[in-house]
Amino acid sequence: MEKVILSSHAVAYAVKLCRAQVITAFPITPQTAIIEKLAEFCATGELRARFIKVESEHSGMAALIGASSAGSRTFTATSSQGLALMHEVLHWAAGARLPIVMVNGNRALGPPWNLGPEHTDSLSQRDTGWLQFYCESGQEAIDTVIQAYRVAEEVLLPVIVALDGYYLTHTTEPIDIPEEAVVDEYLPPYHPKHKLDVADPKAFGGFAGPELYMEFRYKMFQAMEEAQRVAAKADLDFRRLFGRGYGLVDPYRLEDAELALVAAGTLASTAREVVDARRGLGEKVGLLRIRLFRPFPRAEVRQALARVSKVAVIDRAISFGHEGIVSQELKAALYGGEHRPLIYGFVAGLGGRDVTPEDLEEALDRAGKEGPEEEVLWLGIRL
Amino acid sequence: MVKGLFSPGMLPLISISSRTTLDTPTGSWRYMRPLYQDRTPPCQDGCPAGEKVQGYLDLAKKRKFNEAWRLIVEDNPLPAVMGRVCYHPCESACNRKDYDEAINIHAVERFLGDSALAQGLELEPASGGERGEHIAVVGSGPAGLSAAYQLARRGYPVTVFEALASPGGVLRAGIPPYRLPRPILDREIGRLQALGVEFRTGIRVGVDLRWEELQRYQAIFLAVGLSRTRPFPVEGARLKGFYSGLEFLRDFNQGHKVRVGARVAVIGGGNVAIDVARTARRLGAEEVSLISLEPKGELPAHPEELEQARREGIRLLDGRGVRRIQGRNSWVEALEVARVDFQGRDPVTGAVAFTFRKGKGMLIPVETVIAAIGQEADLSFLPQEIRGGGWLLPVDDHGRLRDTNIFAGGDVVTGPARAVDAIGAGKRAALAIHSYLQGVLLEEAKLPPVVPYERLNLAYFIPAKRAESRSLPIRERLAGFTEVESGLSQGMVRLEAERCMSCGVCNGCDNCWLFCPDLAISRKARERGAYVINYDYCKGCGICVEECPRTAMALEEEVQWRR
Repeated sequence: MEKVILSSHAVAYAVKLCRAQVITAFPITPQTAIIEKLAEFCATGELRARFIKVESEHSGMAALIGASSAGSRTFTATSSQGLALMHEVLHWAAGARLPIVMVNGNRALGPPWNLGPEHTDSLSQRDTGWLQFYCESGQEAIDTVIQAYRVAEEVLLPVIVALDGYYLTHTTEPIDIPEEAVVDEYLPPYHPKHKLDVADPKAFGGFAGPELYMEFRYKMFQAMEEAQRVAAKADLDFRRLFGRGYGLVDPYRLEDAELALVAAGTLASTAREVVDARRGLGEKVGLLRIRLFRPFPRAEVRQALARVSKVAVIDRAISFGHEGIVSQELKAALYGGEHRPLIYGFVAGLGGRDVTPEDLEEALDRAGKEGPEEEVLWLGIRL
Repeated sequence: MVKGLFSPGMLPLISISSRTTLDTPTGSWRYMRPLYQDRTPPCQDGCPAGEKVQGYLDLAKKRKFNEAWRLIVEDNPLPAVMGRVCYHPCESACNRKDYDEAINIHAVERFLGDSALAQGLELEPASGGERGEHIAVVGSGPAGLSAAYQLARRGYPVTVFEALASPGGVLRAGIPPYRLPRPILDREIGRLQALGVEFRTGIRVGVDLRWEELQRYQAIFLAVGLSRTRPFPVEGARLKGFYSGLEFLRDFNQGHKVRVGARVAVIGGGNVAIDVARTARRLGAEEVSLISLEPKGELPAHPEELEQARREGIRLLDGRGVRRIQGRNSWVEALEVARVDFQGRDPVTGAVAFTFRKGKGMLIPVETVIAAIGQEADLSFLPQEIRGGGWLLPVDDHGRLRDTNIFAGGDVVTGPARAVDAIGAGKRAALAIHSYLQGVLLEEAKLPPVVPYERLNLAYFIPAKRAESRSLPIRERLAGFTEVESGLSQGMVRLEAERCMSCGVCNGCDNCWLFCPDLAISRKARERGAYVINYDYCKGCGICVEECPRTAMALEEEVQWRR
């Protein structure tokens, strides 16, 4: 059924379709519309889930750890400072191998206080053991949440589905809401092998000394490696049932491209327009959108950029002391491959500043020069 | 992978115990031990009759109204009466008053009393069988009724002597019917008769029955109250139109014709003075002035009574004394009132110290003057060696007159006090008489410490408004003697009982059970006292004690490590 709805509401529909059983909620802009819609679903009985209002995001995640340990399908949504507050329990959720799904409404961290979209909040949770998807549209958001449960429950790792604040959370578009029966077919009920059970009391998360700890971590590493294959399969299966799919990375007009833009999230839509414009001028440019950031799809990235000589990464994030985070990941991935294009790492759009077609034109122009003028290139900086 | 630790592929995905957690008795880590330990709620501590208020509120909350009433009558045989006339010190003690508003305890007690009357519930004897010793109770006020009841339910034959035509003492002769409708009093006293208490009314000991004749009883309880008016030492007290408050109320309450003029002055600042003033208003007086020596805020009358009097149009002239009563043709004509410096009142004798200020007084024209300046005990019926030389009866700590089988309690021992003090005095006297007759040591009722407000865990309470009874509109009140307060409905009573914080008494809220991180607390049902701590697993973290909203748990050192 197609509806013109907010992407935030699309996420709530996805959670309802996935029959989440425990939802924790702590309001934070710009994700609040998601949990509000879910509260409504729970209040009307459309979704039979336990909706827990918590006193902090840390408690929210802690409660989901309990619920998921007991075998429930769980969901929460957060953003920025809220996600940062969860950091400690994010590690725990992953280490306990709990398939929790969480939506992050990407938002800059303060100070200075700011509500605008930026990816630093979720990208800086890179090493917690959570999978991370970045969405470009409301349709992709609803579909990715459904895929996320499928992947999470197969590899037993938690998933963050990231939506740009405002650009995505607060915009409406016509969205096809999948049929319940088909979603049920796609996503079977969750039955973990081990779960908290009063009839069979067991200790979870107990001590493991150095003689064992590393093996548990190795298993997590393996699960993350496996997640690339599982995510690709989940996307293919999704395409088969619903007629839509996205891939782990999303290449656009790259076949004969010499220069590629690389971006994640809604910025890719603007980049597509610029690519088309430059193609109209006869320039061989293309775009690679990074949809899955963790695990980082090294092989897909290498393959997609196998023929370009230059790459302009537009990062909506910064790792202070080094560079844009996607740029960093990209360099590391390509270094291990045989083809090593020249990489121009741009930092743009922090704190919700618009990244306009003109900005991307500038990026392409600067990438046209012989090598980057600096290690880290800032777009549209006014000093 | 380290060889020998586990076979390849055996390592689970997460660190999980292979067997139940019960294999590890974590109780051995404990050095502090939590335990359930009820304290005394402040309401019970504040009640001179020792009513287990928290207990009956908890039962009322669960709609167990009859059980709640049974709990009250362990300590007070007159819940419907006392729910109306008591000045409820329990509510002044209630911790909830520091949170939002005190529980409306007296309204719940009244409801339970009325509900028991409506159902015809009877008082039941305590186990122990019938006893042979016959006991005389002199006086049928609250102290006498309370003692008679406590003795009768322990199997003693009891005879109560009352000078007036009907039993009840101050409850009947003093308290006006707009505060206590007489059918309520009649029926609660009737229930004592049904239990076996014998009432001999119209018998004034020393007049209709010689003191010596009481000697055939194995024990005597004197609860004669303060029946004599203190003389009003002011010029004009013999004029027509001057009354003493005690006689005024006694005459009116016995159905005698009592007339007041259009303008009435009531002298006194206590509860009796207010009863007189409000009665005079209902008898048709248009202007009623209450003249008290005490300045505002220091009047001995209960603030609620003062407020009702104010609403009924009674004018308070505080900090003033009466210099003289002016008469004409042997009738009261006016009152000369002047400002005073009040220095204090003797709580036992009621004697006041004050001085008139300089300057001219004020002349208030009145037709009726009623002095309610206190009462004293009439001990003339007692032999000199028994009554001693004082105002009141000299008794030991147990209410016994030295080396006799005579006990005394109530106002005749304490001086002017509240009805509930007398109920408590009667109860204690009955216990003392029982111990005396059975030759057993009187057990001191030692209650555990009271829980102060600061010891409650307020995170678990939600503000809730106190349910108030409706009071009659002023116009309807003044048209007669209809009861002013309407009481609470059953629904309101339950809501009000729900507000009880159950200070110091476990009411089965499940917090300890919910919070225990070791699942060491189990419960059989949602019933009080149904929690069990499994010390094999309790680590002594104390979370249960910390999260108990009402301090009904304690944490004790497992071993006294230090000498």
